[in-house]
Amino acid sequence: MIAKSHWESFIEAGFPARFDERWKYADLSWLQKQSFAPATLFSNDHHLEQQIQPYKLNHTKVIFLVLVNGYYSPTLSDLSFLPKEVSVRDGLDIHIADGHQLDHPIHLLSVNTVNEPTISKPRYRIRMGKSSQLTLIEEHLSLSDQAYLSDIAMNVQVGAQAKLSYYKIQREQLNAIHLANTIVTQQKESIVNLNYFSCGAQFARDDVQVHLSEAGAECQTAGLYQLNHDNQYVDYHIDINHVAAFTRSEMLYKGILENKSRAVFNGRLHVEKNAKKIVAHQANHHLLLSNDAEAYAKPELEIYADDVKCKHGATTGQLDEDALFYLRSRGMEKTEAVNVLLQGFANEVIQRIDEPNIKAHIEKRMRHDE
Amino acid sequence: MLNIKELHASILDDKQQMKRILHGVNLQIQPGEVHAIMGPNGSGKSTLANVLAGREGYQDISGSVLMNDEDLLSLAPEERAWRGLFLAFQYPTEMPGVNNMYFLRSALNSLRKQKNLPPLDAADFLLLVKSKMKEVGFDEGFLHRAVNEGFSGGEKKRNEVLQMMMLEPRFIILDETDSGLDIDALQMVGRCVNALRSPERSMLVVTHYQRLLDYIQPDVVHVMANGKILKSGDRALALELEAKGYGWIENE
Repeated sequence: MIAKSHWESFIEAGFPARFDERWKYADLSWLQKQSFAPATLFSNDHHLEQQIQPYKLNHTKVIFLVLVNGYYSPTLSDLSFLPKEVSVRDGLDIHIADGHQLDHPIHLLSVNTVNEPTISKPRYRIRMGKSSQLTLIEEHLSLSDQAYLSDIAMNVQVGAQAKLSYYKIQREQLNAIHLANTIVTQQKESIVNLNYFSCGAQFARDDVQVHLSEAGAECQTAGLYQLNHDNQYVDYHIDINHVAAFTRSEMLYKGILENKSRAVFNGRLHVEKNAKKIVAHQANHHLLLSNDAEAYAKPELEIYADDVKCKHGATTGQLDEDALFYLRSRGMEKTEAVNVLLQGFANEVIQRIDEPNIKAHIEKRMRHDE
Repeated sequence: MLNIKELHASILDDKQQMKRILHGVNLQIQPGEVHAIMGPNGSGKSTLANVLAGREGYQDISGSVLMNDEDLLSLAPEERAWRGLFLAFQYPTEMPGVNNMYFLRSALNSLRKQKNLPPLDAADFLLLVKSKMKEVGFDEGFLHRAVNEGFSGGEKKRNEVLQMMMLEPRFIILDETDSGLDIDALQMVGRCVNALRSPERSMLVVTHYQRLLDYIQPDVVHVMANGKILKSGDRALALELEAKGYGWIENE
């Protein structure tokens, strides 16, 4: 019934358009240009096993969940490190028992191998029990050049005092359309760390809604996006709702834009009337490396409570000429000096990754030449 | 070593007006010599230092600068560094996210590459940098900080001196390295600079005050005002300036 009413409301509203504030900057012209058939279950797993091998994490034991064209593949997945306190159904419904702290991260690898334009709509659900702990890496990549659309929905429920570290890596090819909707609900004193890394796809949009529902819940979210192709587009809408008192949140999103690429960051803070003594920070910085690149930063703060600490800052600029000269005057060639400064800009986000192997994995994925 | 002839340079000011800063500077520095340039604020000392190092943004540069008979002005900043030019900045730039150790090692290895030397590995580099850090008074925490980020004025200058010690340039320009330093730090700068003095290495010390020259004894002292070198002499000139100020030279 729910599915039906969603469909009905979609039929009523149609696709979003420019007058819709939350889609104001999005260029949805690909909707007209391309039709997509529903993705089907993929069977030729044997060949794929070798193809995905290089994308596994080095030096780290993981619970490896593989999705092919949006479908969970039991044969490609490796559940040998899955403890009995964790259940995985169809790869997409993960449940962690109260008090259980996973020793190994879950690596959810989503690959696309389609040979005609297709649409896939994977749904994930993650339920974390009280005081449980999870590190989750969600990674998207393409093994074909064909146009496709992924429309992902993820629902995360984080129990009291539970701790989630989440890393999303989106590195798809330039014909890919990536849409993702994430809803996180946090209970008392839970800590959630959401990190987004993106350098692929023609059109990528992440809608993230975080509900800090109970006192003391804390959400830190960060993102790094690097676009270096004409007409590449990335769009982050991060929505944090401070429902309860003594909750904390932080957003730090940084983008590097080259050529004729475009990025949108819309960080929205909503502090409800009873959410006293909350702390919320929001920062968004863009580096534009060409005159044709465009960045739209749109902070929104809606505060209905008294006695809160909120701050936000946004900058958009070019590489610091003084810093460039400084590095060159020490003997670095211009291209190297530029890279050092870009890396420095990105480091503020990269350095937040505690686990060295995950950090190395993400740094490698974000490099253009890999 | 360095031969500057009739060097002119201008900048575009805030109102987009062309403003001439250097009005024909002539200067010759032989190998092994240490020259000091003194002068009031706005006399063009720092502009001269920056034009020599290759900073962009200066207009209508004319005249010639030869370093070891090579046209310096046609070279990119990094090419000047490869030939041994080093500018210790008056206002070193802060670089958030760029780690000091990484920066120093990259800079050193860039220069080594030009000399056809293999890059220094992490262990050898660490050994070298630690000994130099001791000389300028940095503790190990320094290596893990970002370049100049949140450094005090004195720490920034120490970092300039450390880079000078690491890169061992052949022609050193110190642009008011003494400003904002306490006596201990000033002595440290003097010690480090004197340790690098050699018959092959030349230096140009830009300073407001003669106190740095108590530690670095220059061979020649120049007085610069209104974009020109007005007077040159030996150390006695610096002492005379200290006693009488700059006014008398501009009036001469």
